[in-house]
Amino acid sequence: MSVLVAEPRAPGATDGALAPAPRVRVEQLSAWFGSRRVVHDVSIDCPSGGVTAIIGPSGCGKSTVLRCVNRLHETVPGARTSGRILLDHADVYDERVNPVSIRRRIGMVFQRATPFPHWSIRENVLAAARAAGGTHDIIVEQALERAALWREVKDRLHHPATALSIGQQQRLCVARALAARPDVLLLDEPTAALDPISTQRIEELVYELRGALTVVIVTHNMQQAARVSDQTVFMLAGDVIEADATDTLVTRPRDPRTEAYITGRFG
Amino acid sequence: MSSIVSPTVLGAPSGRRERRVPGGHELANASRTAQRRQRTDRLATLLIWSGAALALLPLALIIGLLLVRGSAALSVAFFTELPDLSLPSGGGIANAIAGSALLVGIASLMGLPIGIAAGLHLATHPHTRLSRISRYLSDVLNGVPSIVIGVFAWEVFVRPVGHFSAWAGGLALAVLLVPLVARTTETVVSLVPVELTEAALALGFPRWRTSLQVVLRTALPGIVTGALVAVARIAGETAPLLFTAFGNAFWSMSPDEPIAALPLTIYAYAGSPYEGWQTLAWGGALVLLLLVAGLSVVARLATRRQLSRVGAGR
Ligand SMILES: Nc1ncnc2c1ncn2[C@@H]1O[C@H](COP(=O)(O)OP(=O)(O)OP(=O)(O)O)[C@@H](O)[C@H]1O
Ligand SMILES: [Mg+2]
Repeated sequence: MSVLVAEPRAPGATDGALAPAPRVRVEQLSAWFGSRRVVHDVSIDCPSGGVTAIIGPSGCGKSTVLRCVNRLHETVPGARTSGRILLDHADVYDERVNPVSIRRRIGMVFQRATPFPHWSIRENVLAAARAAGGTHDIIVEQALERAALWREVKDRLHHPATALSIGQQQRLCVARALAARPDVLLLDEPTAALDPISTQRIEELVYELRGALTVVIVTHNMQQAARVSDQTVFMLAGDVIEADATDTLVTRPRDPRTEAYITGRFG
Repeated sequence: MSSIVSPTVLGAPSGRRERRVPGGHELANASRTAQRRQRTDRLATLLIWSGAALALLPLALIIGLLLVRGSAALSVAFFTELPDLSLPSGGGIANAIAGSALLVGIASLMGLPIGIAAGLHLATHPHTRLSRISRYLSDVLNGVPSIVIGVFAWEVFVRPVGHFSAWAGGLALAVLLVPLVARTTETVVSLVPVELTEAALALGFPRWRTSLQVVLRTALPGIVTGALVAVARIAGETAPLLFTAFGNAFWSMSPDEPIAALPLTIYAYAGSPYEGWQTLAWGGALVLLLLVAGLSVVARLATRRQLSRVGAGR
């Protein structure tokens, strides 16, 4: 698999993160639900500060791979994993590692919006916020601004999050994840419930984040993968079939199964 | 058939339909079908209505009877005085009202935290052995006749200390309260979507913070309602108090002594030969009913306030 070097980051795109984003390496990862193995010896190398897209038909294990990275998979009763996932050189599955500290470093946005219903918009953004010299007000404004939600909610920050539309709730979840200042961001079909404008804004955000964060995004939308990612991984039935620079994989897939999937999508 | 039952289609002289205009007997058939359906519909509606009325009838009778017989007993003295046979009214049942409040208070303080904690555990760890066992025991306990709980409470809380007391009565009620609250709490907590828990964990919330701030907070209105309904339910229990709180004809607020309670007073006075005391029993029953109904109303209001707070913003 080719390791891709991220484009030099655009000035002003970072939020001044101190350490460079970690390289995320998934090595020989298998995942089970009970006795059913749904991910088979998957290896993926996500370069520091790059955007990696995972594509593949429904049920092929994309979400499961993502959920292994922040050790969410093991919270499902009966679920387990084998293999290694390295953030730079630290194994996420090292037995001395506390999953809570791993999850603090890794932000995640789910397919379905998950704001905390009895919390206000502001409280949601601040749920896991880490201050970096700024006051809470500044954190809230910056995070909402980046998630393209600030203008719509700035006058009702104390309203409950559930009073927002689903698309707004999803952008709130993006803001909540960003406010925690993670250095890795996992996006599981983040725009599935969004309108074209919000979708575009999220895609722009992902593009801006490159360099500052290592991003892994699951998407069903090939154009989206093409727009936002440096490299793309195609999965089928729990296996990685092909991984390559997005341009190459989209235009000249090597594996006929990749080609079938991509052309099916486009056609 | 479908073209026949639709009169508008028949009326419209579209060429294709015209050739299929049905014969007279078919039309008659159709209208007979329609009539039969209407009759069935009316019959079913009637049955449903009368079923509902029949179900509500006993309730209406009970409330009516209590209002009529009970309100005759209500007076200032009823709420402020002790039972006194030298008076024609029989005095009042101030001691029983206060006693019931104390007993329910003790039971709630003991039972609600344990029951809610147990319910939270059952919902968040549904498949552990501990959960399976306690869920089964709760269900058994919920089905045990309350007189059995009374005998148990006597053996455990009364016999060792050698005398009846409000403590023993309150604890007996708490034993009833715990499984009730545990099961309703479990139900409402497990309705909280697992996605919320996962979102909290993914943000790096520790388990305890996830449980308290996200799961418990989301389920809170339901938990409050369940707790109030359960408290209302135990407030009317008589059997667990017979051999524990025992009853007391005098004023007492000491948890260490036998204490009067509304259900006990009703039980004792309703069967007495004195008309004054029988009146007191009716009045006590009415007060008990109002208290329980009041708790249900509070439960509803609490839920609604929670909901409207969500709607109006915090
Ligand atoms: N909680 C669960 N319990 C048991 N099996 C599960 C569970 N979640 C997912 N699976 C199974 O694991 C496999 C992979 O699921 P996963 O959610 O990773 O697919 P996906 O590629 O994300 O699909 P989609 O595009 O539909 O989101 C599927 O076969 C699914 O049936
Ligand atoms: Mg998925």
